[in-house]
Amino acid sequence: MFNKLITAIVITLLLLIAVISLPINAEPLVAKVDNFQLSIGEVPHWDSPDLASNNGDEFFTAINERTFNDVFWVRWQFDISDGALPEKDMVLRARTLGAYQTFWDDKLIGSNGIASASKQREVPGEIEKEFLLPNSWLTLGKHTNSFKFSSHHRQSGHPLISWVNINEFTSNTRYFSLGSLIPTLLVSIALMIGVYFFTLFMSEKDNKAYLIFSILCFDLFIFGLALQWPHMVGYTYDWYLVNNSIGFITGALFPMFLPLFFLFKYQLVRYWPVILFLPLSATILVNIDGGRIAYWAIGLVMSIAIVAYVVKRERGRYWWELLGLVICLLGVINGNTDLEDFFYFFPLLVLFILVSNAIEARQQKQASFRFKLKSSQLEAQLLRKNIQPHFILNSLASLVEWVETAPDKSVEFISALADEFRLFAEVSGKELIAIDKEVMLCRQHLAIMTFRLQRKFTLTYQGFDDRDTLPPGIIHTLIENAFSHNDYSKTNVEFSLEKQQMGQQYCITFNAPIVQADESRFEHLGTGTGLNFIHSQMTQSYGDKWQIEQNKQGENWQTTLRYFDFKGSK
Amino acid sequence: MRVLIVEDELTLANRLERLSKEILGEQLVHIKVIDNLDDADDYVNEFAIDLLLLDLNLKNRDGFQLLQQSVAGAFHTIVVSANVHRAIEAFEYGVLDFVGKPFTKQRLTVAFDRFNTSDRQADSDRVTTQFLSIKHAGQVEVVPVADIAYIKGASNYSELVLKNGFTKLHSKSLTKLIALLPLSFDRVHKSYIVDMSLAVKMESLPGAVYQLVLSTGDNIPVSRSKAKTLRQQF
Repeated sequence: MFNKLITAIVITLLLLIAVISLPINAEPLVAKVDNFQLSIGEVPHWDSPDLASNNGDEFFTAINERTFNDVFWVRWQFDISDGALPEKDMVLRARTLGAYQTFWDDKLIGSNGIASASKQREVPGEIEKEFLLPNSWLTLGKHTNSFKFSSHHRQSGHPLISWVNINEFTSNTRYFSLGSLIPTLLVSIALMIGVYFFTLFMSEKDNKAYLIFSILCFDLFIFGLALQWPHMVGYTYDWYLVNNSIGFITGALFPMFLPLFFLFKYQLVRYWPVILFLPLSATILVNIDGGRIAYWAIGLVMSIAIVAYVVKRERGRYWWELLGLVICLLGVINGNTDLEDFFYFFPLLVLFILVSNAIEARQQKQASFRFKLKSSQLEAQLLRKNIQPHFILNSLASLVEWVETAPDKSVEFISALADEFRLFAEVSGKELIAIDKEVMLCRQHLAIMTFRLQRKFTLTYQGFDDRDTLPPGIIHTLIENAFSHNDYSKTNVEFSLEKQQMGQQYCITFNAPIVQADESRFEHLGTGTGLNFIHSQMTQSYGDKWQIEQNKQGENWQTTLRYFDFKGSK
Repeated sequence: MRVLIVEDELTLANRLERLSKEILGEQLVHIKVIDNLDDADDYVNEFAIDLLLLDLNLKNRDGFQLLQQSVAGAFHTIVVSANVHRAIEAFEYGVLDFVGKPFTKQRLTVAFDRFNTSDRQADSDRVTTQFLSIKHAGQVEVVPVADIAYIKGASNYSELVLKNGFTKLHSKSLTKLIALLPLSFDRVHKSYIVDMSLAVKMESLPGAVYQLVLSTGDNIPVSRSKAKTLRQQF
């Protein structure tokens, strides 16, 4: 167990190191960027800009609310006098919400849609776009990069410019091959796992945890797709609201489904209101920097708390899942503002959940094997109880006497014995038999005991109809127990069996008269297997939905069996 | 012969009583049937009997406990039980016979014959007695037969002399004990049973008196008739 834990931790660490050390980001061009300016109108008036700043972040935030309804210009300076000149081909890449033309030192680099003062005439640009920069343009010194923009379709609060940078031309391919391709693959994994768990759910409809997990995976699949769509496929920025909303909703649901899944999985679903804490916290977190990360972290911490509780309760089982969750939490926190990193870690969580499922499935298989073994043992036990040597030999001993002294009686006795064995052979393989049949069996047994002890033994029963069922041998065992705990050798004895029924709830009462044997100095021979037999038989048929109660009622020893019969023929 | 039948199933008790009367005939002086162990125990403590016919499961109580006490008594015990898996154990404690249920008149006759004859060769395939139970101050003590060097008969009891020199008193007569003991034990004298595997030599003393010398250093008298057969061995 401990060794396995260490192995798991080592594997995980290696995977983490591999993921973190992937050379995703190429070195950007070394350049100082400053002198940010905004000029509103068809023609720029850079001598009196509407906004000027040397801080890019401030500038990008400040222009957001001033640039909805008109054509406008933005520009800034790349100073590459301090840096080394690039040796490779470079590209200008931008993520924006708008349509624009962009210029390098007043020379047109390219267009992304068509900027226009009127909303109708604007042709929306792609959300992410890149333009090759001729190497001859990248000389030492200062260069102006300007954009003629319009952004009519943008919603308030959405950023006009997310980023603009100059990178190696190959950086994009590398980004696609590593930085984006891997998360995309992992997004596909989420889809496959979702389908897998949904199939599990379809074959085992009781297990809602499978359903929740498949929903969780589908949610993550869509979330991942929404995150990757701008890089992988691209779209014009007027679709940004749709893309962003899908990402927002699926991103908000995942941290709620995750703890919900564990609540279902560990049958703690009565505590489901705890996940309501997440939407409550979201109302605060939505306005805070890094709020999204915090929101996800809360969902993960909740899940960790649930699994940790279960690990503690179950003494160490499910720690695989705990490990996977902790890794995901680290991954989310490590991702700063970018949830894409989560996709590196989520497959680990799934892997560990699957491992934990596999372990559980194996245990269930073993349990079901033991259960089958147990039922065949029960069947054998039922047969052996009556065809046990002691019973047969004593019966034969009496028989020998009657053969010699009362041949007629011996023939009757043989046929009574044969009847009981025949009934036993008939019922012993079955899970449930009609109570009528059980009563026949008991009466046959009592007939034999009547012969042997030369007292009259009878069983009355009332309230039953011929569709009532019980596992075989239950009442028979109660009668045998009564014989071994009482001295029935001197009186006639009447046993009774009664039924009360409310819907599917049955209550069967068996009464055995108490005839105490005299006090004895000699040890009682063990007959303890009787109740064990009843317990196993009832549990096999009714799970935990049954009860047995035994107590003294007046002159009788009363046994009450209560059970829910869902399997009866009704 | 005084016989006690301990059997709780009426049919079987009747059968045992009927067959005993048929087999023993006039030899039977008194017969008593008891259906529980406690009364049986009281009875054997109070009245002298010669033979106990004992079931091992009476009203779901363990007759083996009574067996362990009764084999210490002066009478012989024959177990009549369906619990054949306890036969070897019963023999080891020194019962005369173990009759499995169901039983025939013939089988019961063999058991009664064993009471009457001391012909031990006839049943040499029988499991031999491993222990002798001794009742002493209300307690039952079990003595392994392998520890016994020789047994000296007294008027109504026997004195077991162990290999370590200790002696124990047993309620059974020499005649009853020799019927139970393994074949290595031989009655060399009216008053002596000896484990012959311990005999070193036989000495002839003046006056046609003979004695066996045991490896334990004990000298045991040998009857004249027995001396004749023993002389061929030494």
